[in-house]
Amino acid sequence: MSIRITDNAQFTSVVDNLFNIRRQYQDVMEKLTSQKNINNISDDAIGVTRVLGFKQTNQAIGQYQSNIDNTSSWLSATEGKLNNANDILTEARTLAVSQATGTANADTRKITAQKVQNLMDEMRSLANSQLGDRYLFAGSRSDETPFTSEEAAATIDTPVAGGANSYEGVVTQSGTYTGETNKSYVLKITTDGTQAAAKFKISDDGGKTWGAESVGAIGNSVVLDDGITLTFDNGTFAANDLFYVNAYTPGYYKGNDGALNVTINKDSSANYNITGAEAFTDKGGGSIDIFKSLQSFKDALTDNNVDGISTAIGNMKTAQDQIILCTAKCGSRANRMEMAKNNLSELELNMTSLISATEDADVAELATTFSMKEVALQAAYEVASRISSNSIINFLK
Amino acid sequence: MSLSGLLQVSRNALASYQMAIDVTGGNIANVSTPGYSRQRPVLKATGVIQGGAASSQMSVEVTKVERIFDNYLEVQIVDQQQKAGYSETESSSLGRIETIFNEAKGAGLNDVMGRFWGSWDDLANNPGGQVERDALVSVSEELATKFNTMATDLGDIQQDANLSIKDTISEINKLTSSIADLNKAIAERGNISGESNRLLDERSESLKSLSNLIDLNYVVDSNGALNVFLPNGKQIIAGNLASELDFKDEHVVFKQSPTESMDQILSQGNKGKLAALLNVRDDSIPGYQDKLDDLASKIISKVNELHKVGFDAYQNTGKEFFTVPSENIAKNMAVKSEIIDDVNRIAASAVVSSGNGETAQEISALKDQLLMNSGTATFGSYYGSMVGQVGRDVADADSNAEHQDTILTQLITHRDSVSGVSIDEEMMNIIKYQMGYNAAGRLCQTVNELLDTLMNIIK
Repeated sequence: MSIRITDNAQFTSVVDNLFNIRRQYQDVMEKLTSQKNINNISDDAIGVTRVLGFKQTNQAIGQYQSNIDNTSSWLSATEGKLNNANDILTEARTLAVSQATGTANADTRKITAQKVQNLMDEMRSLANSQLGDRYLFAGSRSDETPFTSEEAAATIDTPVAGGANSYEGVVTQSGTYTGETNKSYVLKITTDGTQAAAKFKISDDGGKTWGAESVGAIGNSVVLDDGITLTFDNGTFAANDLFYVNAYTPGYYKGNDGALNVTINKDSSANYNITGAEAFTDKGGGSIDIFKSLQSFKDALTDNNVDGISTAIGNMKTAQDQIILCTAKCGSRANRMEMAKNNLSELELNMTSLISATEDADVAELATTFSMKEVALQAAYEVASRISSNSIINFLK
Repeated sequence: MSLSGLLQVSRNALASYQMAIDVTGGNIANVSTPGYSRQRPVLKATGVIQGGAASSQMSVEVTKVERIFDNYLEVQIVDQQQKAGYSETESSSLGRIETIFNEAKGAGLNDVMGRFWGSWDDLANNPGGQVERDALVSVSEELATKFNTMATDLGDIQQDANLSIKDTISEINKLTSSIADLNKAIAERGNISGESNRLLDERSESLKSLSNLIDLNYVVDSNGALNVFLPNGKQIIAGNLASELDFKDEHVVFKQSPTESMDQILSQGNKGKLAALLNVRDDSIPGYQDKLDDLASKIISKVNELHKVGFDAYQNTGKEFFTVPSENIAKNMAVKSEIIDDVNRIAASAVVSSGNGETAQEISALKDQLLMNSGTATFGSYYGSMVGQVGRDVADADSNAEHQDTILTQLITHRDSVSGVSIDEEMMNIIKYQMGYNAAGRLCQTVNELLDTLMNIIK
C-alpha cells in the first residue's frame, strides 16, 4: 500500500523539522557564548560529578597553600629572631673571653656587667617578639608573654573557674609544683552533686586527653599530680563545671611545649613553631637555660668571680649551639613547606587542566558546527517557504 | 423501458453526484481540522438491466458516507499519548529541579562547602583572630542559608505539582463529561451517517486529549458508547455518565468516595500527565529532599560533636555550633544564635589555654573523612554524586520525552495518511464527480430531445 501524503502531514513534518534544527542551533549557540560544553547538569551528568570533585580538590589545595603562606612568614620571622639571638650570644661570649683574662679587673667587670644586663634585656624582648598578635616563642600559649624578667620558683597559679560554671564557691591551690615542664591542669565535674557526691576527671594537658572518672567524690580537696592540691569551698557542682590551673617550672619561661601545626595536605600536618622552652631553656628539648646563664654571668662579673666568668664562656658556646640547632630546624621546615607548596601548585595545575578538558568547549570545533547548523536552518526555511507554491490548484483552470 | 424511467436515472445521477461533491466539499473545508477523518461517498449501482421489454434501469445512489478510519491506529495513538503525556510532564518538572542543583555555573553548594572548611583552617592558623572568627560565622551562615534555600525550593516545586494536579483534574473532568455527552448524542443519532461521523471524530479527539492526562483503558460497547476505565478497573465513563475526580487532602479521589486515595493506582503505570506529577511529588522530590537532609544532618552532627569537645576563647567548653532541627533538617539548618552574637564562643582550641587551634583544624579535616554512605564517601563526593544523579534523571527524562514524542508524531502521521485529507485527491474527485454530473445533465438533455421526437411523431 502506498502512503498517502496529506497536506496536514506535510505541514506537520516541515514544522517538526524546523523545530528540530532550531533546537540544535540553539544548543550550539549556547555552548559558543558560554565557552562551556556543560551548561546544565543534564548535559553531561558524569562530567559534572567529576568536575565537582576536581573543584573540591582545588579549593582544598588553595586552602593548604594559604596555610603554608601563613607559616612562611612565621618561619622567616622566627629564623630572623634566632639569628639575632645568636649575634647577642656571640657578643656575650666575646665579653666573657675578654673579662676572663688578666687584663680585666673588678672595674671593667662592673662595667661589663651593665652591658650584659643590656644584652639580657635585648634577648628577653627578642624572646617575647610577636608576629601579629601571637608570640613566636610561647609554644601553643601564643596569647601570653612567654618570658618574665625575674626568675621565679616553681609556681602554681590561682585556679580559674570556668565562666559557665554553676559552682559558686572559691577554689584555692596549695603545694609545690614538681613537674618537669609547664602544664595546664583541668578538672571537670562529671556528675552533679555536693562535695560528697560529685565525681570528676582530670586532664594534665590542658583538656585534650582525660583520665578516668574518679572513684570517690570530690570531697574538700583533690590532689592533682606533681604536687598540686586544689581545695574547694562548700558548694554544689553541676556536671561540666571546670576548673583549670597553670603550673610553671622554676625559671623565666611561662609558655608551654605546645606545637603549632598547619594542615598542608590531606592527612598531613606540619609543625612550624619553635617553643621558647627548646630555644631558650633547658626543658622541652633544650639543653641550657640561656637567661639563667646570662644572669649567672652577670653575677660573676659583679662579684668579680673569674671562675664564674670562665664557666660563662662555655655556657655561651652551648647556648649558641642550641640556638643554631633551632635555626637549622626552621630552615629545614621552611624547605619542607616550599616543597609541599610546589607539589600543590603542580597538582592544582593538573586539576585545572582536567576541569578544562571536561568542561570547556573547543571553540574551533563549535564554530564549524555552528556554520553547518546555520546552513541547515536556512535550507529548512527555504523549503518551508516553497510549500505553498506547489499546489494542484495552481494548475486547474 | 420508459423514457420517464430514463429521466429518473439521470435525476438520480445528478443527485448522487451533487451529494458526492458535497462530501468532497466538506473534506476540502476541513483539510486542516485536527482529528478530522475524511469522508467518502459510497456510490453503488442500483437496479438491473435485462434484455427484452419492461425491465428497469441501472441507476446510481449514494448508499452511505463512509468515515475513513483505522481503529487499530487509534488504539496505538491513545496508548502513545499516555506515554508521551507522562514523559513530557516528567521532563519539564525535573527540568525545574535541575535549576536548583545547577552546579554547572559554579557558586553553588559545592563552592560554599569548600569555603566553610577553609574558614575553619584559617581560624586554626590564628585562633585568637577576630577577623577569622567573623569570617567563619559569615560563611557558616551562608552554608546554612544555602541548604535552607535548596530545601525550600524543592518544597515549592512540590506545592506547584499539587496545583498542577488540581488543574489537570479539572481538565479531566471537563473531558470526561464532554465524552459522556457525545456518547449520548451518538446513541441518539443512531445510524445517520454524516452527523454521527462528525460526533465520532470529536469523541475520538477528546479521548486522545484525555489519554494524554491520565492512565486509562477503553472499550466501545454494543450501543456504540465509549466506556473508559481507570487502571484499577473503576469506570470513569459509563455511557452517558461521567464520574468526577476530586483533589482532597492532596490525594486524587473520586468525588463520590473522597476517602479512597487513588494516587498509587494512577501513578504506578507511568502513563499520563497525572501519573508524572504524582511521581515527581511523591517519589523524586522526597528522594532528593532526603539526600539533602542526610548531608545537612551529618555535617551538623559531626561539627557539633567536635565543637563540644573543644574550648572557646573564654576557656569554656564549647557548646553546639549548629542548631539541631528535629525535622526538615536542611530547611531549618542554622548557626546557633549565641555564636552569631559572640564569635568568641567558637571553640577552636583543643586545650583550655588560648592560642591553640587544633579543634578548628580537626573540624576542617572533616571534609576528607568518609562519613557518608556508611563510611564510603566524603561530604563532597556525596554531594557530587547527588548532583550527578539529578543530572542523569533529567537527561533520561528529556531523552525519553523526545523518544515518545517522535513515536507519537510518527503514529499521527500514519493516521493522517489513512484519514487525512489530501487536496490533490479531493481536487481530482471534484473533477471526477463534476464530469459525472455533466454527463448526467447531458443525458437529461438527450432524454428531452427523445421526448421531443416522440411528441413530434404524434403531431
